[in-house]
Amino acid sequence: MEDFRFKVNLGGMIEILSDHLYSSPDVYIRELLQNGADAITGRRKLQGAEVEGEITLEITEGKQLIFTDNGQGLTEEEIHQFLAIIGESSKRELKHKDLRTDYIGRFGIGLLSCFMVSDEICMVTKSCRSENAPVLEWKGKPDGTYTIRNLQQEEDGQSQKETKTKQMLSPGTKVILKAKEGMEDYFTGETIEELLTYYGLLLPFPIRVRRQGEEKQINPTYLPWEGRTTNKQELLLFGQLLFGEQFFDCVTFRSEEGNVSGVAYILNYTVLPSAKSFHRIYLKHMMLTEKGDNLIPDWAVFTKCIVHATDLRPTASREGFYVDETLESAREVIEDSLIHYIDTLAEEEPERFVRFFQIHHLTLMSLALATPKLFVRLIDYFEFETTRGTMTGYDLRMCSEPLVYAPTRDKYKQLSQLFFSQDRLLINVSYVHALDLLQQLGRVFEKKVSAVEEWDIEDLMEDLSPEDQDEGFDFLKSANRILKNHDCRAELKYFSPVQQPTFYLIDENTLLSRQIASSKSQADAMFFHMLDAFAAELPNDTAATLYFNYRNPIVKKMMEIEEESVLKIFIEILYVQALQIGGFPLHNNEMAMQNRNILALMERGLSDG
Amino acid sequence: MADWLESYDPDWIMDELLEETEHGKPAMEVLRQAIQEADRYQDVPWMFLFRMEFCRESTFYGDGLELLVTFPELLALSDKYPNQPGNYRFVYKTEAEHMMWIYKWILDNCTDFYQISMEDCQKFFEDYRKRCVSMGLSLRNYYASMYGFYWQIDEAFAEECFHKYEKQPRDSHSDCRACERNMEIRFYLDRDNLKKAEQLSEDIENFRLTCGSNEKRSAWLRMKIAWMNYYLEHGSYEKAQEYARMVERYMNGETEYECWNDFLVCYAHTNIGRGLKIYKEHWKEWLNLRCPMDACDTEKSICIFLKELKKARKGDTVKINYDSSFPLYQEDGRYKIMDLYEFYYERAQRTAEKFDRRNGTDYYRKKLEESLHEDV
Repeated sequence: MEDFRFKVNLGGMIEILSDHLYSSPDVYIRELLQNGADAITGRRKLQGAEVEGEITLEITEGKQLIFTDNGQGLTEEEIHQFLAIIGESSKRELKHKDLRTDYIGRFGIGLLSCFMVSDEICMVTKSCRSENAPVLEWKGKPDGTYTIRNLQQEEDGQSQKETKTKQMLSPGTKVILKAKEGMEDYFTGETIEELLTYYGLLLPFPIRVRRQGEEKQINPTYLPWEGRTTNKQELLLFGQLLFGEQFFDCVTFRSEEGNVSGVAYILNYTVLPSAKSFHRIYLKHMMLTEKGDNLIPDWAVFTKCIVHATDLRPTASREGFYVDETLESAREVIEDSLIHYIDTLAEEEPERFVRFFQIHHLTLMSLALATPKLFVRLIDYFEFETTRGTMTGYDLRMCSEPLVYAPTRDKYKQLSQLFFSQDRLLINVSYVHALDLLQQLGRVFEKKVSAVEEWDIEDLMEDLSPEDQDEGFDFLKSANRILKNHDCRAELKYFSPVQQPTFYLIDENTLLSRQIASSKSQADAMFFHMLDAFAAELPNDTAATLYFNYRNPIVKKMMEIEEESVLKIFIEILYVQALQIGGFPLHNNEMAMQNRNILALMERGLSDG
Repeated sequence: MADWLESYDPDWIMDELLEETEHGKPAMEVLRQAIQEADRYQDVPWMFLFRMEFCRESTFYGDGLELLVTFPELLALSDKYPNQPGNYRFVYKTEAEHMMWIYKWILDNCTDFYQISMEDCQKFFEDYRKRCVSMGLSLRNYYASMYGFYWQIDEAFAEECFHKYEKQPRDSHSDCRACERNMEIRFYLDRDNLKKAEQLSEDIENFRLTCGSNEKRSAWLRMKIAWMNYYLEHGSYEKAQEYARMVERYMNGETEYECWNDFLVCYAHTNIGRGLKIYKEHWKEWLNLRCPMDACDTEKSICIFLKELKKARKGDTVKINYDSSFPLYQEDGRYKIMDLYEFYYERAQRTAEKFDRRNGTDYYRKKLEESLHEDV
């Protein structure tokens, strides 16, 4: 058997890299920074930590970028080894531990990203491994060809300008890129500074930009929240510069596990719990991702965080971290810091806490539900819609009555009049998290919490006296006969408010039965058997009830009607009206019946007149 | 009429009212009324969209029954307006195409409701297949659903469907890659091919593959649940517990991630106190489950839990604060564990029989007996 080798088309590879691995040409700055930072780390390992790293970028507006680091540089052998074989990295030779903690890059293909913006990569390098190391020039093209020159030997043949550009008196590496057509924007001072700030803000050595005769440093070279005595105002200012917005407050955190630290900035406006948060997460001083998945708690959508980590494991796509114990511990620290912040704010700055609560109450609900300790702290502030007006969690837990809730908006609307008129408490839990919060309140404070049941509602109505029962006997008999066609039975009761003539009560099964009937009226015959099977499983006693209020003047008058066909008109109108008030979807025949009955009434009214 | 419908504004209902309404029953009620109003105004785009949202809500935050009841209306609407353009909120060119996405959930639910006869299930699958062909859609989803439906009925045929699924091309109608990957992971876990399952899990584990749904963690959760169930099936409860903890931490309210009955089995073997707490918190919702498959699975889990509780307890009784809706309710709150066990066992057995009768198998009864094989 003969062995063959694949041939790789470098041009195609670059296309793949730019289309799939890298999200945009922006990343060429990231890759240059990463290589520069690793080269400085490498030199420190060889020559001692006292070596002061530095990165300089010289920009010729829209045309050229010279990126220089004073790192370890490369020997000719290293150039052949690392720049000629894709996937080889100068960091692979290191022991695993070093690779994890000290170096940023791992995959040895970073420099290729420069081909996205330039047709040629020119690299000039001088190794720190020996004092007399030559200055070497490596030039690579997208077709995979490259040349190496020893510049010291060829000095005479170079122009003065080229000599100056490529001069290397001390160890380090220069990467010279010329903008390819259409990529000029990536060579403007403004874009480059923006990218440097984004990717390299936390690098621990100065990054300097030289353009139009001026030089400025981009980064602070230390973590603003660590070591120095940066006060809160300064941190807030730093956050404002970083994210371009003003924040309500900020919280610092630090985890030994994963060596994670940073600042969580509290947003000054409401965000939905489903909102996606954008953070700045740096690994070994280099920007890694804006996605906080796994590291920042899901509920912390009210924050924007800047995080620096050295010992977390990035995924291959370098867009997040692997979930492991270190990451879990780091996340717990961030969680605890935020919880502690909220706890302290509530305790020590109640006025600011109220403001904070108003802005972020939705996300705080999720937080309270997920965090028992915070639940006790926060529940008193949450508000619930009830038949006694808006009540807070505190009001509810101090309340001596059982906490009865209506699970849906319309159930609440339908019942609230009854409950209100009898001064009974009913809570609307149709809002996001309201039910979970109420149930948790019941568990934590040992309060009885239950959904409104039929018997709760019947308790709000009184049975008729024997005399009134006699009086209403015939009416009830006729009403039951008329409503039977609608799978509904009639009852006569006393209830408040007096002006409410009827009250319609339906259980879940009856509602489902109505839905099945509605669906069957429109469905293809293919579904009939299935719908019938569902209907057949519903309990036989499934029926709705229409309660007539004996104290209501209209109902009283209806009892005097002798002609059943006339009574039918009134009963059916009240039935459909009760359905509508209860928010139940009307079938087509019910709508038609209502129209027909109203017309009949009008006709009778007009002919009487 | 609901107060919010006094002036009909479907965009507001969709984008604001539903956003502040809790998922599940409250949202379904809003949608039920919205459907009625859209019908009343003959507002065809919203007649489609509200029904679709209702189906989605029932699928992900309900029990699927409302989906099965409502879908026939949606299909009839789709056949009446086959060229209705798709809503800009979604990616579909036509609502008929969007409807096909929902049709797939119907097929998935066929497994879970014994009330749908085998003949009807086959009719639905065939109708779906024909529609896919006529609309030029790949049969990839069709075979995936067939695999899901048949794997408890005819394993060899199910496997055949799985391989047909693999061969069909992906198209715009296919499940997202992460969801497909999860199905593949389950396929290999069912065959004890852990190496392959692990290999397939990697991309989801490190979030290289995430689900196309809104929930950024949903594929990851599904994958963890699949592994948890694998370890539960194989009696590795400590290992399953590691997954249970992770899943519990990230559950987000969608019904499919509510695995309390699995946690119950897990803790029945590792931390009976925690198991009892879970049972006390969930007995009522479990008693009222309308999806018979969920009910059967849950009752089986409760039986396993009660069996372990019996072993762990010195006495024969347990104190539980049921309310009067519990069929064995007693004032003093003290119950014989065996009485509770018998109650749940009979219910589980009845439902298992119904599924086996529908499927022409003894799979569910056997499964129930196997999981309770030790005499109590």
